[in-house]
Amino acid sequence: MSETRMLVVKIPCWSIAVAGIPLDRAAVSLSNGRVVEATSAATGFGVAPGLNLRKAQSLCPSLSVIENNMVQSAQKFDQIVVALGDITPRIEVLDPGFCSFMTRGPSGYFGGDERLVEEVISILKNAFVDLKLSKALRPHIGVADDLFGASLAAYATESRLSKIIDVGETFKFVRSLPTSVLFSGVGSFSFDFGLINTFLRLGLQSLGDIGSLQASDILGRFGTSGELIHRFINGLGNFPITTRSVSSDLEKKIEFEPPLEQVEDVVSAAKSLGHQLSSDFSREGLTCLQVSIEIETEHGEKSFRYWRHEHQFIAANVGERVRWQLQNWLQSDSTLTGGIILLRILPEEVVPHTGKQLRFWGGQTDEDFRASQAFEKVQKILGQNEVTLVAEGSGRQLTEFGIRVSFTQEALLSSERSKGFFNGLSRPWPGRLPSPSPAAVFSTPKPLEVFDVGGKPVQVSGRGNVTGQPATLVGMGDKARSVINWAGPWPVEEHWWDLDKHYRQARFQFVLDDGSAHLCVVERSRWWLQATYS
Amino acid sequence: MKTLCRVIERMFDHSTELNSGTPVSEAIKEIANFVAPTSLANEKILPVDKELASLFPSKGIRRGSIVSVSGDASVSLAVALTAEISRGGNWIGVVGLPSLGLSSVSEMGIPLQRWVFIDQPKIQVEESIAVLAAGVDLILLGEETKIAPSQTRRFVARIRAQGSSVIFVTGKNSSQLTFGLDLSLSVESSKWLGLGVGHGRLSSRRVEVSVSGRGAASRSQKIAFWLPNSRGEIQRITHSTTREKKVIQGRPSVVSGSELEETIDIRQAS
Repeated sequence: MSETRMLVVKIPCWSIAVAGIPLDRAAVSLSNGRVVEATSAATGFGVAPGLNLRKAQSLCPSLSVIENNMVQSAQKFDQIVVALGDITPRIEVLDPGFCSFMTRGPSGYFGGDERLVEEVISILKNAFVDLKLSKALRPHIGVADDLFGASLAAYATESRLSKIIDVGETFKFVRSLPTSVLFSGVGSFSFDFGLINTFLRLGLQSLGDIGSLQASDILGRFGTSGELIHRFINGLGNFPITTRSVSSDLEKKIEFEPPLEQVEDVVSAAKSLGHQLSSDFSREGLTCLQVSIEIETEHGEKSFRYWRHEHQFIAANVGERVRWQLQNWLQSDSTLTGGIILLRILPEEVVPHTGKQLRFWGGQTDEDFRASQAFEKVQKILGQNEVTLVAEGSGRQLTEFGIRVSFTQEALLSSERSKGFFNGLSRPWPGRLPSPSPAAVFSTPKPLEVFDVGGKPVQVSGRGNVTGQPATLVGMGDKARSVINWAGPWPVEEHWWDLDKHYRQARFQFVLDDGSAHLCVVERSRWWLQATYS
Repeated sequence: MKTLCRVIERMFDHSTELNSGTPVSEAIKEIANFVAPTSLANEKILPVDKELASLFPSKGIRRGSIVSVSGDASVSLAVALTAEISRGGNWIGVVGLPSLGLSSVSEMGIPLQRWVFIDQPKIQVEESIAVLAAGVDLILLGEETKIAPSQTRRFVARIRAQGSSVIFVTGKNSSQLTFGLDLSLSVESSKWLGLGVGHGRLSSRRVEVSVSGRGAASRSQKIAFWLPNSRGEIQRITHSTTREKKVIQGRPSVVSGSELEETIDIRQAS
């Protein structure tokens, strides 16, 4: 039995199922304007992870879209992890919906990999029922000689729920797969998509093709990210075959006196521990791939979890994991009696650091580092969701131009990918208002009334004809305003195929007697103030 | 230059001032002049679009200064002031302006990548803004953020110390801040062009901004701009550009041929 043999549980569409959307619908979950998970109905239309929303909607107009709520996904997934805890205590969570453990002990106990997999499946099915999740949710389980192989096996289960790669066969199995599996097959490994595309264009169609190249050539041409893929394919992995024993002085712990009551306080303490850890590691030229986090309350209640990260843990990652763990704990165990007195972070798996070069153009700058430190401090005062960045949006409405996402390191990094949007190079969206756009856009439109010269309410007919010339406008300020100039109606109709999202409105531009200009709409015979050209 | 360097090197070697004709102190001064950055003062000034530079006596927003922008077109004007800073890769913070239209920012050619928003700080308002100021170079502060009068003096001092600037954006012609204002820009008049009665669309806006402040800006003046002009750009209206103004105002229907076509297209498309 191989020392590093791993079992991977991957639950496709986890975030979508957690959001309560039926999995037979075409649905995607989005993170930063990019598709991260898509149901099989959606992939049937050609929707794939990595696409932006506009492309996805153009492929499949009836798409349901949810924002990926990491905290909620992580919370529900924690209950799965607790259930699997009956099999082995050492479960590593890579991402919500994706976890792994070593099979050496459990497999021996249950009498072979097949029996172990059956056991895992029955536990998962029960857990899904307990969590009241859709019956259509199908876990994928892969067993292979290393984590990479097992992840790919979980991806390649096809119609069955599991795929077990025999001992010693992993190398052959991995090499037989097409290069395109790297796009979606390996979840949190998050390889460089551009590089995978380059491989494909170079004619390296299977992982075997890439693997049989010389490591030095790969490193010379494609740098460390190319070398990383090469190592994984050849079973060398990012981590050593035998886990290096970690000296206990790398353990970081902090005791709180008086006990902490707020999640945010514990998270910020965790971040500072994370900082200490990463500075200790960088001094020794090491990096950490797996940590265990232990949290204890003043009455001795404990929570203990392993967390894995495929590149390296940095302070922000550690903080995020502690937040997930704490919130899960608070949710699942309502009997917690006291504040938190101890937080212990122990690096479990440590590898040499391959280095990271800051990019000469673009990428993270010193300014960004200074800025993110400040934003994290503000988040500590006001709360996580009060500090937001802009991510690429899509749609005809003014409010759909850009969406706001809470500030996190990940959001900041992924904003690099939407360069075109931020530089105003994204292609025009038909049906959007012509420029100049209004500077003030109200998220909740304000009701108005518009009358013609004779004092009759102005309406727009189904064919787009106005019943009278708008002359007075009531609802803005205390007194009625007279309309000096106006133009319209410009009808907009969207989502006519979808009863819930369908709307039909006519836009008008008004200039009032005080010189101010406004954008108003009529929808279902009612007038609304949507934006002001302030 | 070479001989000067040699003098210095010799001085380090022998730790004495060797007699070579030039006194070393002079030589050091010359070297200092040679290597000194030429635009030391400019680094303390955040750049603004060259069309708007005339609003500022220092041709840009001085770091640590407090500016107020008020009046009808205040939001657009405040956003326009951030353009150069934002293009330079610096961070802009927006506090208390939840309704800011993102597409209007983007249309001015401003990348939103390094913009951070705090929509409505409810607790510890002054503290959060001061902490935010440590990470950003410029903060746009909307009307919905209320700075307690008792905190103002301390707040302004903290912002100044951190070297970031604040632009107060107020819709009406009054500024809530009476203390510590370095410059106040007030939009005296704003007139939209392009919209007729039942036809056309908003295309350009003429604004008149009056500037008052202290120090070099104490002599108040009025400057007119297109914000934006019919090509979507910001443009200062000087005597040479008044002709464009006359032409546009003189046009009977105010709508150019291409704009009219566009309007018809939209109607037909539906």
